Amino acid sequence: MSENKTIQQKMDELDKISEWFQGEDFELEEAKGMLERAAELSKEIEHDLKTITNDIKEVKKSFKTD
Amino acid sequence: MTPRFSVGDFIAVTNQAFENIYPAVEIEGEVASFKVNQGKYVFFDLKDAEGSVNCFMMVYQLRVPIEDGMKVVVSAAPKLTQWGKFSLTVKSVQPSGEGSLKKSFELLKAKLAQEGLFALERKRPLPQLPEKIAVISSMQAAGYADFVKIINDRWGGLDVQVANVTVQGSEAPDQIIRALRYFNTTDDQPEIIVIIRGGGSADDLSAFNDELLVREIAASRVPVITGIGHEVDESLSDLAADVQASTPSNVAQIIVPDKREIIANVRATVSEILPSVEAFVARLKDRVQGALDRNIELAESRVKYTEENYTRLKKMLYELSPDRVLERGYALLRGGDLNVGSIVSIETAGNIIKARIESNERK
Repeated sequence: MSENKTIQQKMDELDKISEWFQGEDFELEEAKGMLERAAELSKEIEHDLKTITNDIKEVKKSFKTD
Repeated sequence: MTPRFSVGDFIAVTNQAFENIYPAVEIEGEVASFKVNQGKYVFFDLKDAEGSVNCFMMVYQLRVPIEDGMKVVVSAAPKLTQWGKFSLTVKSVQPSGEGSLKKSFELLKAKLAQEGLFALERKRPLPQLPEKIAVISSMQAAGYADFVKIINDRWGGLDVQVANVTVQGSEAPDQIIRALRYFNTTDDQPEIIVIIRGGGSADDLSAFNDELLVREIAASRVPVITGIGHEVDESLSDLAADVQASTPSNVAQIIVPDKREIIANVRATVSEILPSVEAFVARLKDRVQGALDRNIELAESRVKYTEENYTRLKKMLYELSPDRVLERGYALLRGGDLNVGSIVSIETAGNIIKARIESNERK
């Protein structure tokens, strides 16, 4: 699992896995593990996007004229 | 009893009376005899059909360009000078009426464009997936509500800091400038600064044509995106920003992607992996089959060669066999010694003959 990663980090990792499958470093022996990781990341990203909300806060400072 | 003053006291009492009567006053009129002395002092007359008053202000207080003939509203304090001249000490000037607003806008636009503040080379791209953004807006404004709705609908996990400022009137430019300075100097610096305001009249939006504000936006270290007014509105703040969106909602659409599109893309990425593995396996299978086919072909060729060799050798051996020699007319002589009178056995292809040796001479 990768709970501590941001959505962006998870998407970057998924992109790297996708590139690995298309690239020269591809090894059939590792493919199963990589495919499982890609599926896991996809689920996590989807879950994050559907559940994480934005944290909107007002700055505790007045910008009015002194 | 009629009051009696010294001249100085009279001037002081008069000014005190002005302060009491007009603690703050706005006067609308047309600018005439506009001039700047020593690069610091601004003098002009404010007039209408009924009269004219002298005006004085410092050049740094003049936040929008003005020139003779423009209709303006001045915020000022009436004052009697020590030389007995009546004048208005002006705190701020705002163009008034569509014509003057447009004229002022064009004058400042030309000036700042000349300085390169709107140059495309200055524009910086926004980060693709920001995590920390700053918003400068009135939190009561409809435009702000639109922005929040769209951004919450499209994306999650954002840290959004909002500077609640007024976005209309003479106070607005300074408040926005302070908010810009705050976000540019805070330890927790945002990746993008968003300046938004919903639609309004040209006068409502004129705060965003303030020269100091436009310069502050251009000087911001953090990239700035603006969404001010409606699609048709254009302010000098928009021109100085790194990215100009048409509305507050459009700002939200530009700075974050739509999570529904991202989910679809992520699903597509994963679903495209399996076919690529299958294609790899198919290529591997083809290579193995090819190698196998080549080896079988080679083995068959070797077997055939060996068979042909065997047949040739067999034929050669057959040709060399004694029976085949006898068939060609030769005879095989068998016997003990070859002395005259000895009996020998002679074998031909068809017969075995016993014969006595009559003579035996060397060749």
